[in-house]
Amino acid sequence: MQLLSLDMQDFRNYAQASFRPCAGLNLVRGENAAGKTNLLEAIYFALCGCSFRTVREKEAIRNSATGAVIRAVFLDRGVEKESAVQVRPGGKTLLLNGKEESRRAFPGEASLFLFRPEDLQVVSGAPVERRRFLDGILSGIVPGYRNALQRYFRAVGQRNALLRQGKSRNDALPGYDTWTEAIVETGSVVLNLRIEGFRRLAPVAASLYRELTGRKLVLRYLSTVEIQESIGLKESFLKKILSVREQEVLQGQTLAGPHRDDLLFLVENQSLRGQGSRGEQRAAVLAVKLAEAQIRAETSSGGLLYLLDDVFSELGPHWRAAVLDALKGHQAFITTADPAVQVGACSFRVEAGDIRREA
Amino acid sequence: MPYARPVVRLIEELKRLPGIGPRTAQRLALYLLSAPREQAERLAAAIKEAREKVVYCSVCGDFTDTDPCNICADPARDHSVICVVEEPRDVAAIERSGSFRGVYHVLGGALSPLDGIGPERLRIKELLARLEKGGVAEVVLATSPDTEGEATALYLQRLLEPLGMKLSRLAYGLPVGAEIEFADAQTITRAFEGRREIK
Repeated sequence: MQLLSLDMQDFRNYAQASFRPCAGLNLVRGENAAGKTNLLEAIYFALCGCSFRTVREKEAIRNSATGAVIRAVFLDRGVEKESAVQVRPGGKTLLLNGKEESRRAFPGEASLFLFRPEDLQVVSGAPVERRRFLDGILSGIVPGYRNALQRYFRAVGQRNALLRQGKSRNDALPGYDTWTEAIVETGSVVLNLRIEGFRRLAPVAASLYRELTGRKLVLRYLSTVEIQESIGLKESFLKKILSVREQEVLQGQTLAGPHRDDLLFLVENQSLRGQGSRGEQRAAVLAVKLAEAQIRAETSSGGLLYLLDDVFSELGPHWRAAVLDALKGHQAFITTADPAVQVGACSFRVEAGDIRREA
Repeated sequence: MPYARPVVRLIEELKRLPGIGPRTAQRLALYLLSAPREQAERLAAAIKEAREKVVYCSVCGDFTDTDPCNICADPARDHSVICVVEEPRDVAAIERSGSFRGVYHVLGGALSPLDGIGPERLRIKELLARLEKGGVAEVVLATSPDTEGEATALYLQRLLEPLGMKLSRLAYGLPVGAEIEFADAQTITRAFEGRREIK
């Protein structure tokens, strides 16, 4: 995947801007709030047909304008394509090669790798953020993961609705067995795929971390279901879920399963959540993201486009080198507010809604 | 300027219909008022007649104007095979295909606690009563392959297994006439899971 050109009109803080990136590394410099992240968002929009920042996409229309337009020309597996996204207050129109298409026709998330500074907070954040972080990564490296997850979430939503009815009825719940079986069935698929993806991800992250810090990083998956080898995953899940039935009815929620699991980051056997310094936490998350990048680069057929938002801040020279190493041979867009960052790349300056190539 | 009261009332009634928003409702109302009077009256009469004459078949639960319906009353059909579907429109779809010569049972929906639909809201008691009468060799579970349809099939499977007749579920797979490259990932995955040996 390679972006050849991008044109924005009334998108975020850009009234009218053109961007002609290089094939390799592109460094995007600018002060805070100059529009660096907006530029990455526009690239994402052009390839995926949606924003990575918001579901209320009309927020992306520049103040006082009636609609935003993003046009891009890119190479998808060597074939030149043209996309256009028009966002209006009432909706959006997506065009691919001049023809109106749905989002599914766009190259999509499989064609790019996204790093956001928010990712760095997952170690200390809530479990739901860690699950989302892990789900995002696994969707890119385990085929069928996203679909399996959606099916499971749908079944959990139905089962929770049933449990909420139980609160007021206080009798046998009709359909309880069925919905329990449904989440055990779909949840086991999710758990199996998670374990599979985790086994690929964790060792790569650990070895990157050791290379860069000399220390031992262990990622541990904390499952609400204790898997007993003797009876297998499904039976273990079923046993667990039946054992919490009363609490489930009281709380009106499904209390065990992959939607309640957590991820633990351990360095030298110490959990980073309580003890880790900010720097250590950043390093651990970055190691996991770099592992994702490495695994995806090996398996993706069309080549990835990298969007890295503010990845260099508070990062030592070792880590910068490791990040740059992971990007070799791919087109990448790195934003930074730090004037000291020198990476020998095509460099652009973003200022007051304008993008200029730096000498 | 607001419309006269009868117009507003017509718009409000049309708005209640599924898939009709305020603007479409307004367009339809204004159209009905400007079209020849007979056309509007024909529509009113058609709605009235359909509501008066169409009932649920007391056997299968499908819409019909004769009870039992044409399919349930047809001696040429195979009454030993019952195909269980969610909605009357599923019967219509299967009938169009002409591929099934048995009889139907319409559940009137699928299990969906989010919409307050539990087993007691579906025509499951009626299905059991039909099976108890005997003479049924096979039940085909033809609910949709989505979360709710799957759960409904699972529920019926557990309920009917002890009765001993043959139970089957419609196959999942690639749509006929479609090209594999255009099928979505989930469909392809399911098609692989359900592949069969051809020797």
